[in-house]
Amino acid sequence: MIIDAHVHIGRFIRRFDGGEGDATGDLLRIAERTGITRICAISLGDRGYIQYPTPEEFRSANSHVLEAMRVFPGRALGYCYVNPQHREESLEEIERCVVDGGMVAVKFWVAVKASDRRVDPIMERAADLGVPVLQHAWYKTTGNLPDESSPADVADMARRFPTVTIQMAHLHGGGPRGVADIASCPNVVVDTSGGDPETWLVEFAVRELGPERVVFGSDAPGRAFGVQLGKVTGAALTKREREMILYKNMERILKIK
Amino acid sequence: MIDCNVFLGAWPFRPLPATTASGLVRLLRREGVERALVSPVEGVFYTDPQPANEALCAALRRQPSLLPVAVINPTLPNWREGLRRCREMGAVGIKLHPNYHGYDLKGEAARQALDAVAEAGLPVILQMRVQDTRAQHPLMQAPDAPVGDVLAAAQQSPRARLVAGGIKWGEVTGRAGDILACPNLSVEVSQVEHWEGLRGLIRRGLTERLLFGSFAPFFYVRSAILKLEEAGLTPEERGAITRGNAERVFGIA
Repeated sequence: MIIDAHVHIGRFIRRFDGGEGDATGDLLRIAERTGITRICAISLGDRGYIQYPTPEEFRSANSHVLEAMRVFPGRALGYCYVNPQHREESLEEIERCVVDGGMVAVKFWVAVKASDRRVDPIMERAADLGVPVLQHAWYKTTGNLPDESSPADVADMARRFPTVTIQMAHLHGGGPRGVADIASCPNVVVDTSGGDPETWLVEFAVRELGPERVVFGSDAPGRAFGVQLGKVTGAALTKREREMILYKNMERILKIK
Repeated sequence: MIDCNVFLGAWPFRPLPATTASGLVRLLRREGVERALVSPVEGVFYTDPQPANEALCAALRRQPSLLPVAVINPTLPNWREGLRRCREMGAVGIKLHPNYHGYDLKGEAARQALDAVAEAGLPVILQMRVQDTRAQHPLMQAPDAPVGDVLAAAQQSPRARLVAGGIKWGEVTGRAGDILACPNLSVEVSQVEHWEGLRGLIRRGLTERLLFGSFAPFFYVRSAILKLEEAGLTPEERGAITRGNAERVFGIA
């Protein structure tokens, strides 16, 4: 069994055969070819990945995730996308999707940096509910987006909310500097998504953070399940470390079996 | 399996899992790769890559499963001499790094080099990128070689056997028709990554143009293997992509 902790679905994603309809089933079918049986599903918008979604846009995107959870019970684990620029609506959306809808985590992308205090009311609610938060982060030589978090921003958030488990996205986007940023924050785990399947970094993260703080994520369909999985199954790790990264850590974080 | 895009050497920006010829053989064999086309990492950085080529050929002499691919820099006045010596040393192909050596593939220097390499009977890997620009060292930023330049080179030098190395999914799918219109151009797939994967390229009629590449030791070889598995290839498709096409393009049957 493998849990992919970072997968995007969306109404705009075309079916594999080019036909009409929801592509989530196609994604799951292709994921299973490499042994991935459960995906953490996020929608960042119906018409594409929306950086600054309005409440209507994140509600509609999350409704798609709720539909996927109903169609693929236990295989699609929903993450609730919110925008901290819209505090009340984001909090209401967490009630609708997490409390009532069964989603298992909250997702922040690039609308507001993790170090921005506008995230705090949402983080406080995540702490109350005991659900993790997935926070995008990257260090781009070519320059981050205006409100895109770096791993240092994530570390700032983690220190403000030490009881919330934060899944920092994109190990290969943050690189060794990103690992160093979060090393002293035990409530941050990093997912292995982001960028090419470059060698060394997974082993480095396991050494610096411990295997309990690294989880497999592909960032499919922008990336490919198999290529990204190869970062973990092709790395020089013990069987125990690999099992932790591929599913045991996510079972612990999401409190699932 | 034949791996068409492998490097040997040390990378200045992070450790690599294999920096010796014997280590590279172990790394590749563990994943089922029997032969590989190997070029020198130092060839990316040396102004005159010839010392890197000579060190590569010497290192591979006792590893018959690793076939040398030499780097030339066509902006140098002595590149023809480098090409002649690389051929004598047994190079089975040439690799160009236009973005690190500072020229464009549709320019006159590249055209002359491609025609001369074709005359010498060797194929050429046009390496479009080595590292994602977002992840490069801030003082060592090398922009990608445009896919349009690769196509222009293929059109300008129709006798040259060319391989687009490090090409991305969108570049292949966006120009699939143009690639098919250049019978002398193949596509090395180490940096092709998309959920449709190789199946999507096969559907576009590119089966005979695809060359398996892992980009080891920069990338995990397992990622390249899983790319094959994910595509659900028929034995014929797998044979073409992992062996037959490479034997034809590189003349290494």
